[in-house]
Amino acid sequence: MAELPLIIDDRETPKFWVNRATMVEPGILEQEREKIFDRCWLYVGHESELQNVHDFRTRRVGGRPVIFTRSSEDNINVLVNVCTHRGMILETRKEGNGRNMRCFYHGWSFNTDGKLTSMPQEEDYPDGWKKSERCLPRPPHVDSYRGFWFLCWDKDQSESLFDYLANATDYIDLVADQSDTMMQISGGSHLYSMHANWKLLAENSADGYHAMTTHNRYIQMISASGADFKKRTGGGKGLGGGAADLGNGHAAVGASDHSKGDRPAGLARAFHSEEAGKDYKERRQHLAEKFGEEWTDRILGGRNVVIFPNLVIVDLGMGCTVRTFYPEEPGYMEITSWELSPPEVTDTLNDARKSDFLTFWGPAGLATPDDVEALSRCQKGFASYKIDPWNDLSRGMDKEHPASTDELQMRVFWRKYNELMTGEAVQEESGVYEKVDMIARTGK
Amino acid sequence: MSTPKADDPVAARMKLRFEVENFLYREADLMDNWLLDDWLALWTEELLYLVPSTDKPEGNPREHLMFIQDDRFLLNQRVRSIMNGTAWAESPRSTLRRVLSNVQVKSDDDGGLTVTSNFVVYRSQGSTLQVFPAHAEYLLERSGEANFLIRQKRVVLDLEELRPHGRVAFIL
Ligand code: FES
Ligand SMILES: [Fe+2]
Repeated sequence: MAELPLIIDDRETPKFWVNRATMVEPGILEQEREKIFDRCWLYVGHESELQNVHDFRTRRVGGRPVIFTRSSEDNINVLVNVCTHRGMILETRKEGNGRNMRCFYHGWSFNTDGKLTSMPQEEDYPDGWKKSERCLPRPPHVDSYRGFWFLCWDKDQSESLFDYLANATDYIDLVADQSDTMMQISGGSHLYSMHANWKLLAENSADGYHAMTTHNRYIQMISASGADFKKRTGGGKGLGGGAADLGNGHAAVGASDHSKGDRPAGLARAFHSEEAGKDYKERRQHLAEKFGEEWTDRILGGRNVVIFPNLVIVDLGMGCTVRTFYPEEPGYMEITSWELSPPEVTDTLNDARKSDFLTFWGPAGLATPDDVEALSRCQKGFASYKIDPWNDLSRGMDKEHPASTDELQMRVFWRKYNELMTGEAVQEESGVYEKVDMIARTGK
Repeated sequence: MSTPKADDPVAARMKLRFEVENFLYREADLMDNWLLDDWLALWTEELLYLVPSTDKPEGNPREHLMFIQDDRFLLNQRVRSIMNGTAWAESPRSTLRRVLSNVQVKSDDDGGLTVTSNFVVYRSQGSTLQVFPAHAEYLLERSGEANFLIRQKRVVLDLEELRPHGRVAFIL
């Protein structure tokens, strides 16, 4: 463990510093696996990925291989994807559909409820030996909130998923409410990586401060499309919007949209066509009839939500990405991102949505590659951590209402992190949970 | 060795492939050397540039999450940002070299030519060397004698994950 404190949370000056040793030291990563990834609720997948009975997806969650599968119309399972015979990875396909999964090593078969159903030469097992004792193991806790499925590896976890999510549920609602049926993950995902510490991506995913500089080329594109970026963000000084502590280490930045559908919200380029504009307005009308003006303005605004420790939902009006990441090494993480959208929108809107998603996100978009570059360069910079061990996250610390371009959202993450790593209790910066996207952007 | 006759179908096919190969080699040179404004001039005004996600190589933009689905406007923007130095992921620019082969003219009719190729891009920056194996399918339009324009290009990365590469910000 680093000798210096992990964070300096000085309320007097005030200032907030984070120890760069947490980004590079292997001993810290070992502790993180134990104290964070083995304790917290972790995102597994979205219900819409399992449309049919016996659909399955394999992935790693908190470093462990799992099968996310539907065993019946109304039952979803998360199973450990390891054969109980002698430990071979059971299902090697990334996705598929099948009633049975067969381990090719000796031929044990399991169903989508994890039951061991058959094996070759079963008669040779001793009399007292029971198949029922060799079912696939399950994470001790599995639960979902509005289509988002999570697990927790800690059998002593006493907090329910709902309580764990705290006020982040409000922000999941803003996303889930966008569909009359259920928001849907599109086929295909972005399987990429960064040569950077995983916590840098938790910081970066809700960092309004870097948008104008790191993503300058994206903003050039918006302007070239005919959108008035300055007007949209209230003067062009920053992105507009506020930041909120959602409890339990979760945080968000966001803003409402008050244009009543006259222009695309958030960071989208201008409407692709007149028809797209018309469809968008109709869709807004539908949402407003269903939810009222205020909630609709919030829905169609934008938000970057970081759910501790490694789930990010970024919904910028023009598209929504769900992203999770896991450290393989202190300086290397693997990232998976999906696209989430309302299945009922018109083809015109859907086409625009898919295109707009990619102009920003994804490892070949006009923004994400530059985040990858920025974070890897930070990681390289941390080679000097013994000379200057401190990252500075003090922006907006003296403000009653920190902006999206301040750093409250990162401080919230790091305080929870510090609590789990050291046992020092979190001292909240602002007392009450604020619905940040109720803070209007000044430009209309 | 006898000279092939003018109406010899084999000779005609060889000639066509030779012309297409020359075109693709020229394109590769422009991409490797970051002459991207010249590269943009190889395209028709209306265009589609597609790169599917690594886990959905058969993906299409309406149903699936792609890596790239650029029309003329977006491709212009992509190139502009690389050329003006605000694409930080390629600023400073990396050193690129691609090897191109297996060029096949799959069809050739009034609608244009369908051409496929295999290629590998080596990307070097500092002490890192990345390898991007890929194959491409082009829809080409004839443009004068022995020349073409790209109407559509679909590049499929022969990688199951973009790891450890992490990103693609140069032109594939
Ligand atoms: S390890 Fe799976 S059947 Fe033996
Ligand atoms: Fe970013």
